[in-house]
Amino acid sequence: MANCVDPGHNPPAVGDKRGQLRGDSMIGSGTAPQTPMRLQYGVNESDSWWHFALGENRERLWARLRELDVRIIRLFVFDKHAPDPVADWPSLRACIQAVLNVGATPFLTFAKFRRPFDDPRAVRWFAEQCSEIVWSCAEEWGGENVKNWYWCVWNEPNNDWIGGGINFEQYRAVYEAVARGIARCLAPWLNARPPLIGGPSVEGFQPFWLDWVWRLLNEVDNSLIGFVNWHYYAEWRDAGEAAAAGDPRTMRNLIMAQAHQFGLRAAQIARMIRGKSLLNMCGEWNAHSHYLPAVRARFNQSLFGATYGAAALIQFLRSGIDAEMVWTGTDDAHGYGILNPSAEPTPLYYAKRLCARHVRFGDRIRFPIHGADRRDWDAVVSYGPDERRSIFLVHLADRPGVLSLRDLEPSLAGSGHLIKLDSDAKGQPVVLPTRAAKIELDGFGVAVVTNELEPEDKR
Amino acid sequence: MAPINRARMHLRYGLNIGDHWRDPACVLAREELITRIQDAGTALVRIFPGIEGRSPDDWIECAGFFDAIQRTGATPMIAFPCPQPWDDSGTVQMFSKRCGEFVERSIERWGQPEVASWFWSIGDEPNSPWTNGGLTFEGYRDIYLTTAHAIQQRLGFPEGRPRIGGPCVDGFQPFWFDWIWRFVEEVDDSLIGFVAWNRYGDWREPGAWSAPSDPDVFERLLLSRTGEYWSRAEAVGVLLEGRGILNLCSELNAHSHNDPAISSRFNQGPFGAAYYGSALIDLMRGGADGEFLWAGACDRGPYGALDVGGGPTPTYQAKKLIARNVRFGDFISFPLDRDPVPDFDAVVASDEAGRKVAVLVYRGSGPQELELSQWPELSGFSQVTSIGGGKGNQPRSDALQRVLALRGYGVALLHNQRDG
Repeated sequence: MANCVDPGHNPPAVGDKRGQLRGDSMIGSGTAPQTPMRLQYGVNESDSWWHFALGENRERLWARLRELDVRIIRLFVFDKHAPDPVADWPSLRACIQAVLNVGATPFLTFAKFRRPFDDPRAVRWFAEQCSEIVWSCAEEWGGENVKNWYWCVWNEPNNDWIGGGINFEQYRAVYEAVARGIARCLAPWLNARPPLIGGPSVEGFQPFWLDWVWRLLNEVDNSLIGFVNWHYYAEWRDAGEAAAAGDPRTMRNLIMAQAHQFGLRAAQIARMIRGKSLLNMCGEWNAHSHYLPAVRARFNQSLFGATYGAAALIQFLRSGIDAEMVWTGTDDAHGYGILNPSAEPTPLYYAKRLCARHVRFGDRIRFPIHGADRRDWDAVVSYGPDERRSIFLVHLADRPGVLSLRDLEPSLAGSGHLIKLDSDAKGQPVVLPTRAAKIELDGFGVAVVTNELEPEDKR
Repeated sequence: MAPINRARMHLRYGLNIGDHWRDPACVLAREELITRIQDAGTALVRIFPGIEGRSPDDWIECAGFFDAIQRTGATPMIAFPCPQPWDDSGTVQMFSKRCGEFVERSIERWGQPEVASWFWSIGDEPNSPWTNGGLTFEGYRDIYLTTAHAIQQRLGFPEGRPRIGGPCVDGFQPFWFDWIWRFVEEVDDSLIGFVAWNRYGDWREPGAWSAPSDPDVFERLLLSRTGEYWSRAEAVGVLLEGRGILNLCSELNAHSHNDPAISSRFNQGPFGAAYYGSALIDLMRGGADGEFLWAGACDRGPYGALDVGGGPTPTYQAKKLIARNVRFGDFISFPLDRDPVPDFDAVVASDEAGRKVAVLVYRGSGPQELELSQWPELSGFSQVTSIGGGKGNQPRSDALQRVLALRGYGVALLHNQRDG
């Protein structure tokens, strides 16, 4: 961050001032403070839920997600072609069971209803529907388990296309009705602890997106809020569309430059919730949300998408947020997902796996790159049990670049195993045969240097 | 114990001269204006001189006004909005020629070294579809390149980079950052001395365009947005780091609605003082190099920190209090970041000579007390000078008690007798 003299520290959940004085050295030494890694990795399972829950390759998909250390999976109810909770409870049950089979915690989003938002009977009806789902879950999986699940009210209410045109006052009424119903259902198991209910899942393109978070926190009884959920994509326009840059290369570089937004937005939310025991979650993210799958796939499901995603993950780790959920896990030709219905990964899947494997929950982490180098590189160094050490690194520029490992983590220079995911690697990480003292990447790419190579890394 | 977020303060304070600087009333108030601008620790003054279709008398009038600005000791920023129609090459050529002539005339009057130290800004919210006549970034870039070359040619080759910049983007537009990024990446660095961006808290009337209608919610929400000054300064700062380009907030205030009945109370009362004070702290936190309040003077509308007769508003008093005490080059820290209190923000400034002050901003409308001993950095002061906070719109100094009590929006300076 711009104006500080305490570099390299994993920031607390506030607008952070640490960093270095302008013009100071760019790469941090190995002595910068370390902080605990507390980010829960996650995914969304939405439009292609059937493949994830019931498809012939579901067990392979679950295994793939376990390799990502996925701890939280966001599901939809009442939108995104999700199974009808009343008419098709077995399908919804299968979906939730699939999450549990992965070993993750379900995050259920009660996305919207299509009755008049101002009608108290419609609000009551919706709240009852939500409560019945929670109650059914408690019956099926036991209240002691279900009390730890996440329940999210509405999806992108600040976007008329997605959220249905609800205003904040209407949303507040719906939120309170639904949250009170859920809290009542779970009360027998909560021991007076607040339920993990949250919102507003704001869409990040809207100019006043942060207002919805502030109003939720300031106008709703805080005992009904367990987390704040926000979404961010860098872009929705194709090159040349709606005043976007016409040159595809400019477009890619511009999107990449906005990976810092993840950290800035996380810090803005953190400022709002400081002093409150609430979780800060990015419930949807990816590079591009164009309305045509073929366009967004170019950005999300390529090496570019892997690089952007890796940059986003480092920003999440630096900002100290509690969970991230990439949009999406399983994907049948929607242009977002990291796994197709046959469980074949995209480059972003591999980038996420490198991160999850080498930067683990509970590790100590630090961020060695500062100053002007932040435009081209970002990295996190992690320290685990038994002297395990890794650098997870991303190159944000589409031109050749070199970094000395001695400047990032001296103990790994010349001795660490180097894994690269770049244009040479054909979409999959490659373990290089030699121990390197530096990292060279020809363009966008992701790399890991580690003293602990797992057998899976060689696959 | 030294504060861990200690940094050097490199924000230069500035103000915009409003659209009415040619009005006789403003001219008559000039002497008072100069004193007010000086008193507010103003280092930068942004002016829109207008260069199209003016008679020689206009230049004389303009030069007289610039003489007055010179006497304030502030450095002028000359703002040239893009010409229309922007896609007519003749119009663009004429525009860059007139900008160049303006520089020439300035050099004739004030000399090359002086004029080369001024800032030259090309474009005013060129990304705003409300005012840009369909201007694209490519169109803006062409105008910038032609005009910047014309200005640079006249300025010669001053030491360091020419102080030419833009694009003064409208911060309400969703893709405002695109313009900043493309400006920096697609224009040669040698032609850019600064990058500028505008930011107001809101443009909507309460209750309109999905804004909350409840006045209390509207005010609190508006104040909550001052964090944007930090995040935007930081976002632009990452892009500029190591390039030797300044990061300037070229226009700021709480509310940009042009109807005084709607926006005056947000910009010109104690609320405006708290908003502006809070914005300044966030600009310092984000590492911005300069700020220009819209508007410092010569504005008849709902923005002016000084009225037409030069009378100060609470926003002006807050600016003066902060600028005179939190100075360029000071060490600064933000003690409430580690141990926050709702509705408060603070910056502590000190220098090598042992001077130390703290500025606290209170963003609440009701009474609130702060137990100062909770923050070691806020202890050890004997005096408080406050603006607003339920104690009137003029600065008021009192002995500082253990507890700082404020009864509404306000800015307070904690200091000792010899400082502040």
